[in-house]
Amino acid sequence: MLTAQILEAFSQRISWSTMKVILKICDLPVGRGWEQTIKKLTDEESIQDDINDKIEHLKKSYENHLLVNDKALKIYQVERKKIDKLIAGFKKYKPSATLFQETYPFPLSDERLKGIDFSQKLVEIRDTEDSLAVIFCTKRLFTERSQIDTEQLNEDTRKNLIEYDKIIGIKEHYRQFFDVVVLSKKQNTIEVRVDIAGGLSLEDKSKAFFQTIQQFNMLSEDIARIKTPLQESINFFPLIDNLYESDEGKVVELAFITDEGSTKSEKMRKGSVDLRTETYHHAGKQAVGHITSYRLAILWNIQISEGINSQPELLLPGRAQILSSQIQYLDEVCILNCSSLDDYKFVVEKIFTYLE
Amino acid sequence: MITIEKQQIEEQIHQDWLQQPQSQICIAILDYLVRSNSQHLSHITYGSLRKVVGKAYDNQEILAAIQYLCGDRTHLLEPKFELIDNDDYFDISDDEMSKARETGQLLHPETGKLIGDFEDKVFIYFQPSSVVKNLA
Repeated sequence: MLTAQILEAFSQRISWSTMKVILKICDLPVGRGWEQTIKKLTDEESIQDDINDKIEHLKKSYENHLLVNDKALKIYQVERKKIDKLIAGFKKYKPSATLFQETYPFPLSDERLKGIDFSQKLVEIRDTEDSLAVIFCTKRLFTERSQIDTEQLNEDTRKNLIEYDKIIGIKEHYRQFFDVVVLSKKQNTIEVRVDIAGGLSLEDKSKAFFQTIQQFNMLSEDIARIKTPLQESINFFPLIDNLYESDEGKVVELAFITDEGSTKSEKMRKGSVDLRTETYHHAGKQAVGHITSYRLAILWNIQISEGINSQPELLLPGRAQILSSQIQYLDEVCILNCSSLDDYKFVVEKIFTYLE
Repeated sequence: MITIEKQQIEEQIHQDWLQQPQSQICIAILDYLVRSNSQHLSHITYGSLRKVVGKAYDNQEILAAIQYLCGDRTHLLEPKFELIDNDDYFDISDDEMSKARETGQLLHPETGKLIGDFEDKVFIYFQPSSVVKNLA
């Protein structure tokens, strides 16, 4: 039963390819797709005694996954004294009971989620060797736009809509998000990680950041008497060129402008070569002298053990108009496809290495 | 047509900025403009100029140098205005920009509608001036 619950919760948040890596790390069998794997594991759960430790490992992976996958991230540099005071204050604080605790760390059912408001709720304060994580759950509305096929409508309706070229339908649905604020015990930083699993529009992402930062600042004042610890976040823009010019990982996406007035966006298929060495890109770059990049995605192939590889990805999601501003400032990055805390730590270490 | 030699401009830059970092920044931009085909430099952004000069300089030094290169002393760069609206780019003439600043409303060149809150949507880019095109 627990296995099915863990896998169903994972299935709402990650790709099947990342799930396979996690199952292999936990030494659990992998079936063909989600459904078969759930069945296989549930069957084994009832007959095998030694599987319980592995399922426990899977549950732990899920709990860790909520901290790191997939997240949009802002990093704030804060004085050590303030962070220590915040850690001490939050460690003593007990989150109030909310509806989310009924199933946490698993999400509420759609039915239960309907009955909850949109405010952000503190659900857990997790203390580890390296950091203290303050975890929030929030119900958010997703807006999906899709074109309506008018051929499916009756004739009268089609006549009424004849002057329109396109009919757009808007579908709204709710989802539970896990946003996290992480206070480092080793570095003088506080990370705000907004949940973007399953994708989030630019507008929704920026609302989620606003909500989480505001909520954390408010709690900091109430709990530790520290006023607005989260103010100006780190500028990630220099990372775009620094990583592109390095021999790190594999560049899979790049958007740039040329001084001739063009905007280019290039993306590699999964498994293809590094964009930096791809023939068309290489020749084009040679021809124009220099390109000015504003968006980059890079992934690393990490061998966990024989035959098990994970591919965490870092996306620097800039827009072309950053380059037209007097100062180039990019205040967030996205970290995707992590199969463990170690993958996430690896990417964050790369961020700090290449920001220097 | 008056032609000027590159060396004359370099001397002017050194004379105006002496040992300050702006001397090297201006020379780096001048070199870039001279070695590139002017016809292929129609949309130079702040971000691109930062790349041309390298990582050794801070924002204020680069911005001061760019401002100087747009001014009368050398006039190597011609500033242009553009409206960036949902990732679409629209050139705005100097006259229209002056009117917008006087009236507080910018005329969208495509839709013909007036935009009140335009300052955040209008950006500057640069082109090589006629001085660069006529360098001896």
